[in-house]
Amino acid sequence: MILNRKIIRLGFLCFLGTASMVVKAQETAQDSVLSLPTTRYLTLGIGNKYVQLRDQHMSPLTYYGGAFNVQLGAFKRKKKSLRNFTIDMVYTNLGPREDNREIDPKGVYFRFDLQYAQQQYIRSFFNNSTRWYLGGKFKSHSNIRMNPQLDGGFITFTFTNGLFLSNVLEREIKISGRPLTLNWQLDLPIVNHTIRPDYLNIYDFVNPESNWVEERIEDSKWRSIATYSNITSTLSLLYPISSSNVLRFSYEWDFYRINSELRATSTTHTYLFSFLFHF
Amino acid sequence: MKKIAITIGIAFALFSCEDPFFEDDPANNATSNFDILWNRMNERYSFFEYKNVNWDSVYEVYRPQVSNDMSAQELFDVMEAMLNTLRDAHVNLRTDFDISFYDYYNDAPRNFYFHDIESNYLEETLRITGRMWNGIIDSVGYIHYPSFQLPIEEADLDFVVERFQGLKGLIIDVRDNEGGDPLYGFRLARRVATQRTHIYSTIYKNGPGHQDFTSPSEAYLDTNDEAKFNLPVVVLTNRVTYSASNFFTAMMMAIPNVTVMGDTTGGGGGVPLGWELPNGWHFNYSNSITWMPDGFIIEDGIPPDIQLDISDEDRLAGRDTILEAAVASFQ
Repeated sequence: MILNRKIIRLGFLCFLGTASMVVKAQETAQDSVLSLPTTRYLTLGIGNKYVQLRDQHMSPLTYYGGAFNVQLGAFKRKKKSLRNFTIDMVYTNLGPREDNREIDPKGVYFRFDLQYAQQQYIRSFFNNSTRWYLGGKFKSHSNIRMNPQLDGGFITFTFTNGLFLSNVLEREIKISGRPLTLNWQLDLPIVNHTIRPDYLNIYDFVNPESNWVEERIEDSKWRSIATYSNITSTLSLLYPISSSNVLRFSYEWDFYRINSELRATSTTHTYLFSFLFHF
Repeated sequence: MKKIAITIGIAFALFSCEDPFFEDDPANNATSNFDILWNRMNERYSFFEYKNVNWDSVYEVYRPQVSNDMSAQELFDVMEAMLNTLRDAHVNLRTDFDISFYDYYNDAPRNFYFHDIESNYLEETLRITGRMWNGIIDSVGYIHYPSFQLPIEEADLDFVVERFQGLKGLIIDVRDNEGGDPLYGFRLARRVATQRTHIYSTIYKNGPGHQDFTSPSEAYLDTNDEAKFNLPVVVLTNRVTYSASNFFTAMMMAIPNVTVMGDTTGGGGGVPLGWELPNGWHFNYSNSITWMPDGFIIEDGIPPDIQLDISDEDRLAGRDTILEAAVASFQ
């Protein structure tokens, strides 16, 4: 837990550093969007995701945990648009913070995110050094939590598919004469289709041969931002290396809350180093 | 410099803005743990109305007994006493030193002595197929299924069905079966049912009010192409027959040509769900209500079609008069 806090602080410092570079580099970048070539990359990212979760299906306590994170994807930059596809997987153990408990509660957490975002160039600011893109994102999110000590309530889950408004601010900067790209993406939810059990878990004890998929679809709900808030902020620094490949360091903050009868709130902090293979 | 400060300010806001979204964890002391347990039960337990339990009055009785300087054992004792007012063995408080349990059968006749059955009735016909102890008594097939925690595979059933072809009847003995996974009950019952059968209906708690439930969902026993017993069936029950075994009794009673003999089952008609307390103790509670097609709620046990007990004299003589009555019913 202490290590995770250190990682958060380290990530925070990195964020401050890159954010201040944006300001400092304002006068140096002069690129125009029209000068950008079309480029395509396959991406492979590895890093750490720190999860904070409170789910009233499971517990009155907030659970925490850090995890090794793998992200696969593809990124395409065209003259006036950005396209980004990622698959993100996390598997970790979660637990509440230590507080001299009689028993140390534990839980297993699996999360899978699939995202596709496409943004169109809108306009430039600051002498064409900062570009604004606006578009949409589709995100499919699944998470499953298992707390074996909780008898019939030992598995809970949330599946959502949603459309988001996606903003990107992108800025060219220079460090030691080398051109880098700083990218900040903010995604806000428009509408989500959510499957989350109100009363039961993944296994129907009373009728184990029931059509589980059909029942979950019947349980599913369309949710607006009022009942499913999901905000994702991603700050990335792209550093070109040889053969048109790129290294990317990114920090992502993701927050969601489901305002159902049993509320769930979660945040994640993700620090990711990615290799972008040009093809 | 001003721009840098603004950027840092925005960054701070971004990083710290999650804190207001997370409530502080509740205090980990005796009164807090007790209140959280009482509240969760108040909002999620399904049988307050059915059992006519005034949960507010229960709070008034037990809450004054809790103080923050009491020991863990003392707190457990108060919580256990409070939970046992619900008369529900699916309500258990689990700690690292004890598990609370409502005793639903100790006052009832024992009514089951498998060693006597083995020695005096099954003798050399006894086979153990998968988890089913089976034999033949006076041309009647006998299956004892000791626990629904033990899987029944279709291949096991194929063997037993084949073995019992041409007999006069079938006895399925779930006495002393305290439950497990109802799936195995479905597998076994499907070998008896010859048509799709409505077996029970269930509502689930879905809100904090005592009457907040989902609309009823009906469970059916579907038939398939697996081999059937095609025999009249007697199910034997006693007071220990509980939970998944209780559900099995309910589904068997919905099938024509099935008779239940013995004692009223122990009950356990609510699906147990779990939660935990700030001190790490966890507990489970009934979260649903199930009733048979005639509307009978199975929580407190299912009365048999024919009530029978084994007397002390018969027990001493090694006789299982419930089993004998079942065999005789096919002659």
